[in-house]
Amino acid sequence: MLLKLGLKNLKHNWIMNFLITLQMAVTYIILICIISTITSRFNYYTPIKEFFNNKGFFYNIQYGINPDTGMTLRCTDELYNLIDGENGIAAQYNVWLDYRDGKYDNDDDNTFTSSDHFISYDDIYAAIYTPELEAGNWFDLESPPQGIVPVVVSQNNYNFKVGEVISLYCFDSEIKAKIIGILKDDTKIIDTSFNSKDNIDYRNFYRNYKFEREEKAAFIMLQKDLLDKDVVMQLNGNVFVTYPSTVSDEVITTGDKQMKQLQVMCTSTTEEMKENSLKYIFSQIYDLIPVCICIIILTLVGAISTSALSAKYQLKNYSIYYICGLRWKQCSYVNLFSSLICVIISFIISIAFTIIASKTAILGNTVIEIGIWQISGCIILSLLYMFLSLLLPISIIGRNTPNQVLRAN
Amino acid sequence: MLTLKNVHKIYNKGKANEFEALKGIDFKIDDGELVAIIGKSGAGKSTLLHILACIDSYESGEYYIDNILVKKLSERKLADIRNRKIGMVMQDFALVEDFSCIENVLLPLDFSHKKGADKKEIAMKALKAVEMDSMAKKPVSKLSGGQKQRVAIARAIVNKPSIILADEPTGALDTKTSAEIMKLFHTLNNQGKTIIIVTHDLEIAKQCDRIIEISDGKIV
Repeated sequence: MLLKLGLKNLKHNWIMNFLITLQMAVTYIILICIISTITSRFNYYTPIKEFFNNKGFFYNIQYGINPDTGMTLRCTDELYNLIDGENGIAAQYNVWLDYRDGKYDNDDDNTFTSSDHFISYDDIYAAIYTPELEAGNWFDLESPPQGIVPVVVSQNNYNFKVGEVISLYCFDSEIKAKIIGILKDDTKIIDTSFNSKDNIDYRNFYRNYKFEREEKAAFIMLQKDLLDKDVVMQLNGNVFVTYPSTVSDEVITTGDKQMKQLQVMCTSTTEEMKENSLKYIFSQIYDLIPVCICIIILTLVGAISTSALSAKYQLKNYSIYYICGLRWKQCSYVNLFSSLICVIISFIISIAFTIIASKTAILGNTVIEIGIWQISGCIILSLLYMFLSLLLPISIIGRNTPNQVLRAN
Repeated sequence: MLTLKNVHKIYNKGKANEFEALKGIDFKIDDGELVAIIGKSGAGKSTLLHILACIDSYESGEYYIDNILVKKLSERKLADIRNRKIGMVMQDFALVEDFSCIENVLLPLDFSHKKGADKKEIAMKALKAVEMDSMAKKPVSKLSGGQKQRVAIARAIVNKPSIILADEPTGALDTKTSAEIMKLFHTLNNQGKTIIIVTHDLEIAKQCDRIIEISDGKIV
């Protein structure tokens, strides 16, 4: 019954309630954007935070050549052999492959050129982070290596379809690859980043792969699928080398020296990288907190004034409900139900907008997504709003008796 | 049956502007009576009616509805009495202006938590009794004063209460419409309902079975 009256209240004061709903919906959307911005930082920090639990180093390496043999470092096992100490290594590699698309002109020289970017990840990298896909799936790490190599491609000019089998070449050697997924454009992949080389943080681990800017397609494969194939791989990009706490500093220093014999573009200890990452994330959060507080204050002030106005406007009606048999206390619940309906409608609007915005990128580069933190934030805001929507009418209604209201009218 | 014994009502008790509106009211109204309460403005007649309607409290004395002492009743029971036992008609009609006629008449039915009954049908019957069924869906704000008072009476009788209390029911109406409204009260009284009308209009009071005159908070 009270809900029905709340609905009628909404219907009959639709302009005021429409404005309240709009205000709440916009507030939710801004709150979702802010929380998304904060959580997105953690989304990229979280995959690599395990590395930060150990002593060790992050390296960005260009063309890893084994200093002892002069050969390319082909896989993680070779890296293990290179570095002393019980360590953990995660790395990515360049693969000398080419998708010819009928344009290949074999000039028979001994150099390899490719118009695209071929990357292979070891199992650790493939497991810790899945980039956003436009179509298809990420790698199934449980699946054993097969004849046809699964590959995830970035946006490209080749019009690849998921499930399509293509031929890739390393010099004259051909391997068959199956497209299992297509990356969203401008999504982050594990690769050499454009971030500052001086102050290394988690952003150095990712590269925003935008096809228009890169002008070449990225082909991502798993290292284990390529090991038995006749292709050249070379350590290239991001490498984490970590050590258990039992390993002495001397061993770690030796390992670092051995790594630095490779062509290291930048490096940092895991400790420094963690510190810089958290410093960056929290600086972003501190920047956003004042905006967040302002939004909450504005919403609450809006809630207080609108619910007060609404309660005052409804006071005569409440006294009518009272003489018809409603208890005076129950009248404030009518206001609460009106507010609840406004909150539900505005929440639905904001969720719908968020889904549309995240699918169509109408907000440009603004990060907007729905997750547990965003929903929790909206619920807290709703509860605050509901609390004030109940509190103020109770005090207004409590200060008057139905008798006084009836006499005043 | 309504019984008042030495009822006192004081406004702003303990404050500088303390005012005793009722000074020991005693009376008894039997079932099926049509009673007028008259008096000058500020005499205390509306206060008395509000106490009778269980929408106002009193400082001392006793008020019984069908031998039940009202003071001892909980807020829930009082709401139940307002809903089922008493129908209230006010000078300013006390209708929700944004609602239609039927929505207003449905209010006491909705608050009564009646289950199974076809509430709309009952509300339409009440509107028919006051000849307002043809305007059931019309917003109250579009009605004339007389029509509004008819809707208010329909709302007062929809839950079939035994008592109808009317506070200056003809105060905002012209003579012809007032006569029509009084005719309605007579019809309801003939159906066995106890009707108490507060008025300052002697012509209206004369149409009642009994007149109780209040002056300065006392029955004279």
